[in-house]
This record gives sequence, C-alpha cells and structure tokens, in this order.
Amino acid sequence: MTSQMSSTRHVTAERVSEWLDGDISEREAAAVRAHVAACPTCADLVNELRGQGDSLRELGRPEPPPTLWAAIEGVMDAEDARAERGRWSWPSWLAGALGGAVTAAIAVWLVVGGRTATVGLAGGAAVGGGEGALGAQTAGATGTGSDPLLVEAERELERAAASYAKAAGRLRAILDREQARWDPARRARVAERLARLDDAIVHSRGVAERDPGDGASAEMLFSAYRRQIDFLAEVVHRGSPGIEEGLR
Amino acid sequence: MMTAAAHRPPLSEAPPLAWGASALSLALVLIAVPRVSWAVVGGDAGVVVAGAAPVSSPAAASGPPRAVDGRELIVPIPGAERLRVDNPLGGIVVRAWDRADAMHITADKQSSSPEALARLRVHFTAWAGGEISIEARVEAGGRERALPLSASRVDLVIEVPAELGVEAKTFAGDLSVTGLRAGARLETTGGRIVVNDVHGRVITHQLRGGQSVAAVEGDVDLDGVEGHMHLDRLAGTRVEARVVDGDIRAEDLRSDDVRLSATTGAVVLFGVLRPHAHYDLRSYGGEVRVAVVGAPAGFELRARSSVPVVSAIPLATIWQKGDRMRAVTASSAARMTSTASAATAASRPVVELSSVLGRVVVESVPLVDRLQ
Repeated sequence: MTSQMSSTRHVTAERVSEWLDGDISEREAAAVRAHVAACPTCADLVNELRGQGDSLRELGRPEPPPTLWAAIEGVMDAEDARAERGRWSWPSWLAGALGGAVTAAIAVWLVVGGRTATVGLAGGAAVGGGEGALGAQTAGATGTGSDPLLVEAERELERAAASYAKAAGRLRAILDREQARWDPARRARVAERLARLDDAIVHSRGVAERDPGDGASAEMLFSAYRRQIDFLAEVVHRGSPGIEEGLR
Repeated sequence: MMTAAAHRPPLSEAPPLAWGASALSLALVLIAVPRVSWAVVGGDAGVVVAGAAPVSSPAAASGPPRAVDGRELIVPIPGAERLRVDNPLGGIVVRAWDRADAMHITADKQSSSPEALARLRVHFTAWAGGEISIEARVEAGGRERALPLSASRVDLVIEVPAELGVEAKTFAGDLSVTGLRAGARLETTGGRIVVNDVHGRVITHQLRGGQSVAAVEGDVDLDGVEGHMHLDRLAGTRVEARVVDGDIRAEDLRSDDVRLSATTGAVVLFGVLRPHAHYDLRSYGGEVRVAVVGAPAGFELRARSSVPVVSAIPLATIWQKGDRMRAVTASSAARMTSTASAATAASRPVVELSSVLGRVVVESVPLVDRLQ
C-alpha cells in the first residue's frame, strides 16, 4: 500500500490500531514508529490511547478495548477537514494514498447529448485534478446553509448521535447502580475517566455543531461516544471489586 | 417500485487495461448526468462503463416518484491487493467471483428527484500500491461529502477476486461479504452485517443493526452496540464478540479462545466443547447458557450468578463463595482420582459463565438431536 505516513500526513487511525495490536508487518510498524516519533500530534493521540488502556488495566483486565482506533480516526479526520476546508475533502485513509499514488494520464469522457466532452483528469491531476474536475461539476452549488441535502444529512447524523447517547445513557445507569458497592478509590478512578470521556464528547459535539453537514466532524463525535460506550461496557462487565475473585 | 436494475442495459465486457509503463494508477470518476446515456472510456486504458439514463420512475404502489439510475463497470485490476469501499449513502455487497484479474461494480442510485440524483457520485480509484477504493459521495454545499441521506441512496454490489482483502464502511446501509479469502473489516452505523464463507480475519464495528457471521476460517472480532449477533461455524484461533444491547447466539465454534459478552442481552453457546479451549461467556442482565453437544468429555466450570447455577450435567463443586463458584463435571472429578488425571485435567476445557442479574445455565444436548 502506498504510504499513509508522509511527513505532512498523520498516521491513519486504523494503522495506529493495527500497530498497537501488533497486526502489521515489522516494516510497516517501523514506519509508524518513525512518524509518531516525529509528529507530536500523533504522539499525543497514541499516548492518549495507551493511557486509556492503562486506565482499564488498573481496573483489572489487561486488554485495551479493541475499538479505540475509531477515536483517533475521528480526531484526524477532523484535523484533515479543518486543514483542507474549501478544498476537496478525501477521507483520511485515502488522503495519505493520494500523496504518492497517482501518476497516470487518464481522461474521463462523457457522452453528452451525442457530443463527447472531456471533464479532465490528466497527469498527476487526480490529486489536484480531482479538485479541478470536481470544481467543474459543482459550479453553482448551493451554499451549506440552504442546501436541503445538507439539512437531510444533518438529520441522519443527529439521529445516529442520539442512538449513541442513548446507549451510553443506559450503560451509565447500570454503572451508577453497580458502583454503589465499590470502594471509593475505584469509584474515583472511574469517575475521573468518565469525566475525560464526557469532555471529549462535549468538545466533539461543539465541533460538529460548528460544522453542520461535515461528515468528519460527526465521525469525531461518534468516535467519542464509542470510546465512552467501550469504557462503560468494560467497567460494567468487570463489575464490582473482586468480580474475578475465585474465577481465575 | 421500479428498480434501478430495470434500467440497466446488458453490461459490455471491458477489454483488458493496457497498462503503460508510467501508468501506476487509474483514477476514474463516475458522474451521474441526468437524461444522458453515457459511456466512459479511459483512453487507451479501455475501461468501459455501461449505464443508463436516470429516469423518474412511476410512483410505486405507496411511495413517491423516484429517480433511479444504474451503472455497471468491469475493470481489470492487475496487482490489486486490497479493496476499500466507503458508502455512507447505502448498502454494500461484496462477493467473490471466479476472475482473478478484474472487478465488477454495480451502482444503483435512487433519489427523490433527478436533480438530487445527479448529485450522487461514485468514485473508483486504483492506486499504484495495489489498493482499490470505491466511494459514494454527495455533492452538497459546494463540494463532495461523505454524508448519509434519507431520501437518496446508492447501493453497491461488487464482485471481486477472492484473494482481495476487503474493508467496507456504510452508514445506514447493510453490509454483506461472501466468499472472500483474505479477510474483511466492516464498519456500519445502522446497517446489518452479514459475513459468510470468508477465510482470514473478520473485524466488525457497528452501532445497530445486528450481525450474522458464518463459515469463517480465521479470527473473528465483532463489536456492536445494539442488535443481535449470530455466529455459526467459526474456525479461527480466537472468536470475540461484544454487544451492549442484544443477544449473542453462537453455534459450532471451533476456536480455542471464545469470548462472548453482552450487557443487557443473553449469551448462548451451542456446540461441542473442544479440549484445551477456553470459553468466556458474560452478560450483565441476560441469561448465559451453554448447551454442550454430545457426551461431555469433562470440563471445568467457573461461574458467577446471583441465582444457583442450573446444570443438566452433574457437577462437583471445588470452591464456592457468594455468587461465584468453581466446579468440574462429575465425570472429570471421578477421573481426577485416577493416575491419568494430570493429562486429563490439562486438556479439560474451561468454561466461564457470568451473569450479574440473569441465570447461568448448562445444558446437555445429545449429538443425535443436533444431527436431526
């Protein structure tokens, strides 16, 4: 696969997850390590990921939730979206590939009403050319504030966010009941972690509200919810102190 | 309702791609143009797309008029190793076909109006590194976006060489993969996930919709928030499934490490217990049940339940405290006194069953019942 880790591109969240899980080759792992070593943003995210794993380990089970990759993906997608707002927005996992892959000279022809027209991808233009071609296609597009498709999309995203919030709420209710039996230190550790996850959701929701119709921002919010749900489910299943006692 | 497929003419077979020495990749943008019959030819590359004009179909029996459009593409993909599909606008079906050097893509679009239909795009890109990407996008707010819509949709059916690794993502559309031999990674917010006859690692992430995963020769890691999970005939080293609000039913698992956990739903394992294997079944609020098929060769049970464990298989308790207990099957306990007990104990499967609020049940199912 082409590089997703150029000096200007962050490591994709999926790649980070695979790296932390030990699921990529040594050569790919070396590339990830090199990028993380040189990129403070990615290093912070990896530390955050590891930190969450540590929090969970403190609670008893030495396995970080395997779905945390989505959290980093959301953050990086949002960063990409901010960096490239106004330009063509590719998904993060494609953005990296764009950097080095496309060199072909390809033209796309449309037969329009019996005439043939070139809408133009040429040379390395699929990177910039994608933008150019898209610009031609989208001339006269409506603004974000009045586009009914954007309104429709925003409704769908809000519905999904509500589902995430509902699931997290149910887990939280279970946790509230369970942790009444816990010792204060454990309750404090869980509360501290939940407060951080709540902050992430509030922050992500703020970003999403500032950028309605931005799929990357919505994905960032969903990722924050998934992190919270993963954590709550882990804690609920791990249960009260000593749940494993006698079982091992 | 008239379907998009009804408008699709027979597919023209594409001639082989003539890959020039400098042609490291191909980027092809498929653009819906209202009321235009169209073909796309990539110059010397010789890629052919057969399509049909978007048409406003007659109103369905109870639905509003729909504009529909169908496109098909067969494209050579020499050297391709991985396929990534991102379709927030509808469903994705990926299935293996018998060609090793080409891919067949069918895109069916539907919308409430031709104008909205024309803003739905499907992009196919072949990258030099062996990666193929297919993306559905909507043009909105002046640029293309990866956004879901409720009144418009794009459904993708993709036939691929079996050895292609697949990653696919939808928003509300269903995800289905069949016949793959290099694993699959699937993510959806609200679509149902169906996996069948796959070799290689299978990983899923889902908010809601349910999952059915069957006949996998590889490790399986399923993650869901809402919806039931059904696992059947899984033969990797490890099977893990987690769901918050839904049941997990697993049958015929041939893995040595099985971890199934539901928060509010039931967890049911049905099948033969393998020697040396470890089964960890947990629920917070639901029943946890293991139905052992065939004559049990003996296993160790570690259970947590607020009510007494219900077991149809005689158990000998080793340790018990509060709602937790350890036991072995009575037949195993008898063998523990014999001289061959060490080897027997080492190969004995361990079954952990935990339910905070629900029952823990151990059943015995005669093999003959299973075969009927």
